[in-house]
Formats: sequence, structure tokens, C-alpha cells
Amino acid sequence: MRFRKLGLLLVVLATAAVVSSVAFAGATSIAGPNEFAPSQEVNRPTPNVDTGYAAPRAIPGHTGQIKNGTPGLTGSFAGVNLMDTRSADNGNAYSIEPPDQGLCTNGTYVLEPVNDAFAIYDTSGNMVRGPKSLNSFFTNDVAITRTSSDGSPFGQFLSDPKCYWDPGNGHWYFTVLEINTDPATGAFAQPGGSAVLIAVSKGTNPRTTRSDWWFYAIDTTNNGGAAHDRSSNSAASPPAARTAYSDTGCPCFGDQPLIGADQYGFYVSTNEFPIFNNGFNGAQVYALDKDALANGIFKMQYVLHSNYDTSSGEWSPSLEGGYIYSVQPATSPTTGSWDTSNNGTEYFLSALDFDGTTDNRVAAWAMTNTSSLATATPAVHLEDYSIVDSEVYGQPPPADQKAGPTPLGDAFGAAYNNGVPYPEPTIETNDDRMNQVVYADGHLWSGVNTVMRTDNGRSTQTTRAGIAWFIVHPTWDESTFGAEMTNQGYISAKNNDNALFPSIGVNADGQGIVTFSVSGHHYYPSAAYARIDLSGVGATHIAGAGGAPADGFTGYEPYGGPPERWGDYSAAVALPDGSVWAATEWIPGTFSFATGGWFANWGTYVMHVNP
Amino acid sequence: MPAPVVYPRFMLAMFAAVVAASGLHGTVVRSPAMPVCRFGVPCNVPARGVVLKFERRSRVVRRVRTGGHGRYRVRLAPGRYVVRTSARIGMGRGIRPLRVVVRRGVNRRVDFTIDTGIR
Repeated sequence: MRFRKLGLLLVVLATAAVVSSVAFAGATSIAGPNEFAPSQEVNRPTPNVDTGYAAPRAIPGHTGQIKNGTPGLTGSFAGVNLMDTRSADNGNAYSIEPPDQGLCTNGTYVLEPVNDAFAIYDTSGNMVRGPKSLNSFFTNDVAITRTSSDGSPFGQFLSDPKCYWDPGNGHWYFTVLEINTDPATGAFAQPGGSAVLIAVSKGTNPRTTRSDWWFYAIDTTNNGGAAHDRSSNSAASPPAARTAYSDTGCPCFGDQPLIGADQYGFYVSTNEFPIFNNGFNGAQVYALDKDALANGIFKMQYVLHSNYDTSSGEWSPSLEGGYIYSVQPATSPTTGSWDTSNNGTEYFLSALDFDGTTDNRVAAWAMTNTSSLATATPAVHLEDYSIVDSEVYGQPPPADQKAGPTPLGDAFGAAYNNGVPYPEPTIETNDDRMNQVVYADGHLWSGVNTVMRTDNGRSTQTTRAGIAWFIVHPTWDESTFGAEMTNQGYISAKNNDNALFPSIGVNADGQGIVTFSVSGHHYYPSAAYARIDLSGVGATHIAGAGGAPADGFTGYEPYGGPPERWGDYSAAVALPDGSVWAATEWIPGTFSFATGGWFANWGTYVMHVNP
Repeated sequence: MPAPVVYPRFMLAMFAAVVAASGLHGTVVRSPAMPVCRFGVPCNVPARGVVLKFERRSRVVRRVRTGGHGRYRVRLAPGRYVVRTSARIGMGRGIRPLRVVVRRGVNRRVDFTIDTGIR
């Protein structure tokens, strides 16, 4: 009898299970395709993850298609690469991905930093100083000691370099993020500390010797950003460890320091992440007296403090209900381009895609009274942001590459995959955060990575990575800040190819270029550019054609890939003479795991263009 | 002595389907855990203490918290699920894969990666 009851129960349970699964199988909305809906292109509410994203379409003839030739290109050369960074400090360094791309120039010298080395070139591309490691320059140590049995002593963890040459005072500004490292183990040091390190040249020519620079640090371990003078010896005086933290999840670090400048100030913006815990607290913005930095004096105002309240699930402050992130401060090509109204004004742009889907808004920010940074009581004011309706941009997919040899993938396959070579990796396109911003000709110029629907020759259903660019005009109604979109559009490599990581350099007359990487079925990762002005963007031109697929360790499963990490940003800067220097990541194809046992094969490509 | 109960074959199949615990197991990592990746140093870390939510038709049907090594194990009825984390882990696109399928009678391994937004 007991068995009969059990059987009946099982029949009921099993029937319920079958009915449940059948009913669920009909719920196609969960796994349904991300259909394109034209109505979603403009003025739609912030999407949610369930609905997927609606990718903007590449419009033939209007999206920067690739054309032959290199109009305006007056010079170019291969810049710092993986071999340079790995060989620095007599080999006491790591193989690293991604490079990230800094670039600054005064028209005589070109300073190019990447992870984790930099070099100084003349304008013909001759390396005149370096390559020098970021560790030996910023923290006077080495990343790892290869001659010791355990690698100790380890140096500080440094990453995400950027640099800027100021057209007003002629000095060079060089930044990098630092996370305190245990010298005995190489792990992040307990209880944790971090900083944004700032080096400012004492003279107007860039050099690699430490004595020619002032060194400073903004402590990014927690709310507040106390300043440190690191001019004596930074390795001996990292930020003091704290025992109590007011920001969620801290000790934290300031990720991807973004830099900008106006007539009076030098600006740093970071994304605050816990070093050891889950979480994200939003953007922090710091304003510093620019000229004082060049004279060995550190004066700073902590302007924006963001934090996340885990109990309420709210951001403080919030940006349209979401978090504030990657608030890009602007640089300008000439002294005449700076906005001196409101006692000095610095502008910023940021994106609003909070969930990795799509959005159609851009936030413009203005910081006023920046001339006060030169006084004993700095009192800059970050105005309310202005939301500008924009074209749709959204989370980009990884970029594929032209098929080619991947000797590292083959070797890893032999070691970790039962002898089966790993497939050629895709390339990481990260997300659609705001990239480098330029304030020139009275406008703010920038772009983001975005998902695109491109023409693959048979249909328009191929999803690729492209670029959404924006030209925003800041407006003032007496003392009320606003902004409007002057022009916008997309760059799509089309035809199964991808365009990724834009930087725009624009001269004082509003003529410039967008630089970015191109990769796809027809291209190994290459260095490209397109002209831009207020009327729009021209065709894409390949300045440096890639010579092989990206074949680095982060592209393979044992090291977390694919996709393979790609430089998180490129760089472009206009000079007072109107020309533009730019640099972006590419794969030169001149070295690989096969040729020298290198665990990555990335390089950078520097170009000089008269737009 | 009562006669033995003889169940039809289809009933036994359904019995097996119910008894065999369908579900998922695996690990959850946060990636990247640092702005730049160094060869020989893990660039991701176990996502400890993260609550995964498994949703069907926008309704949470199961929650599970990851252990000390980012491991999880969860029983789920066969079907398709959207996976989320109960609290925000980083910025941006969040957890991947976002959608998973559970097959009847199968407890399969699915490893999740949470994009921290660190770059």
C-alpha cells in the first residue's frame, strides 16, 4: 500500500515537472534574439537586461568605411611594445596585457607611456630616451626581481599611464595608478593602500631621470584623497595604511585615472574599486593647481566623492538614478582654447550605460571658478550635470580577427588542452564608457565603443564593435550650465570588421582625427584614423596594418580568456600648429612566442596627421 | 502476500527524472581583479559570498551563495534561467553567462565570470 501511495506521488511530481518544463519552454522572451527595433534608437527609456540591446545600424556611406590611402599622414612609426616593457629594468619586469596608451608631445619630443614602460621619441620616430619602466621611474623599484628564487623583492603595482603636455607652461604631466604591494610576496599589501602618482617635469624637456621631475601622490585608499609629496623617494613612503574606511568595501584604489587641464587646473578622475572586496563606488574627481605642480607645490581640492550604500542600494550622488563613472576631463590644444569664463571652466563628459546594455544619453559637466586653485583657498564648483540626448550606444561585443598563426595558442593547447591548439582569440572591447575628451573650438569631442549592426555582405544582422562619436556644445544661460549635441555619428569598419577604442584629437580650428584600432575578418589588429570636424567623420584609413593576430596569454582559457585584453584606451593630441599626434594598439607581427618565447605580441603605433 | 506493483515504463522514466537532481555547479570569479594582467599572476579571483539569483519569467526561483573559493551548487528544475547577482559587484555588464539552461536529470558545470569593470 505504501508503495502504491509513493507511486501516485511520483506520478504527480513527475507530471508537474514535465508540465513545468514544457510551459517554460514556451517562454521565448528569456532566450529570444535581440531584435533590432528602429523605434528604440531615440528617446527611449533606459533599457534593462531582460530585453537585450538594440544595436544601432551602420548606415552605408555615413559610418567611416575603410578606404585606401593615408591622407594627411605626415609620419608614423612603431612605438613601445611588449618586448620593451618585458625587457625593461634588465628583465626585472612582467609580461603584461593590456598595454593601455598614453601620448603627449610638444612638437619636438613625443612621450609615449604604456603598461609598464615609456619612451621618448623625436618627431622622426627615433627613440631618444628609454624605454624605461614605470616602476623605476615612479617608485624607484623593479616590478619583480628575476634573479631571486622567489621574485622578491617585488615593486609596487603600477598601471594605466597617461600623460599631458601643457601648451601654457610647457611642462609635462605624467600619471599612473599605484596599489601597494607586499615586497616579500608580490601580492597586494595588507591592509591595503593605493594612490594616483603624478610626475611633473621640472623643465620643459622631458627626460627619464627622476631628478628632473617632481613626484606627488593622491591617496585613493578611501574617501578624501590626502596628498603626499613623493619628491624624495616614493618607494620609501607609500600612502600610510589606514585602519578605518568610510567608503564601501575599502581599502580601495582609483582605477583608470583620467586627466585633463584648463588654464588653471590639472584634473584627475578615477573609478573607485575595493582592492580586496566586491564592489564599485563610482567616480572621484580631484582638482589641482596646475602651475604649482610644475614648481614643486602640491595643492588639491577633492571635488567629487561618490560612494555606494549597500544597505539602500543607492549611489551617493547618483547620475539619473545610476552611478557616476569614467568622468572624462577635457584637455585643449592651445591656450586660446581654454574657457576662462566663470573664473575658469573645465568640462567633462560621461556615459550612462549602467547595466552593460544600451543608452542614448551623454552627461556633460562643468567645473567653475578654477582660477581659485591658484589661491590659498581653492573653491572650484562642480555644476549640475546636463543630460544631452544622443544616438544609441551600447555594450560592444568582443572583436574578432583575421585568421592567422597563433603560436602561443598552439603552445598553450599542447600544455593545457590535451594537445589541441586553442582557437584564435577574440579581442576585448571592454564597454561603452566615455573615452578621451577634447575641448576645442568651443565644443567637447569624444567617443565610446559601441555595439553595431554591420553589413556582412549578405544581410545586416552581424553584430560588431564600432564607435559612437559625439560633439557637444556647452551652453551658459547666465550662470546656468547646459549642453546640446552639435553633431554625432558612428564609425563602423563594416563588412565583418570592428573599430574599437577611439580617441579624438582636435585643433583650435575644429579640425582633427579620430584614432582607433581596426580588427576583423579582413584585418589583423591595425592602427587606423579618420578625419573629423563639426560636419562629421570621413573615411577610415589604415595607418599601420597589423602583421599577425593578437596572440597574448590573456586570450586563452588557462589565463581567463578569451577575449584577449586590448589596450583600454588610445590617445590623440593636437598641437598649437594644428597637427595631431595619435597612438593606438596594433599587432606588428615582428615578434611572437615563436620568435622569442614572448607571451604576448602587442605593439603600439604612433602617427602624425595634418587634418 | 500482496501482488507486486508493476509500474509502466514511462512512469519509471519520470521517476528517474525527478529523483536525479538536475541543477548547476561550478565557480564564480571576479574578473579582472586588477587593472593590468601579469603573466603568472591570476587576473581573476574567486567571488566569495556572492548571492546568485536564478530567475524564470522575471521571478527569482532560487538563490545560492558562493563559498570561500567562489564555488556554488544549486538544484534547479529543468529549464532556462536568467542569472543575476543580488548585489552589485562592479560596474557595467555584470555576470556572464547571463542565461543558462538546465537539462533534466543533469547537474552540469557552469562557471560564471563577473565583470568588475576594472580596466
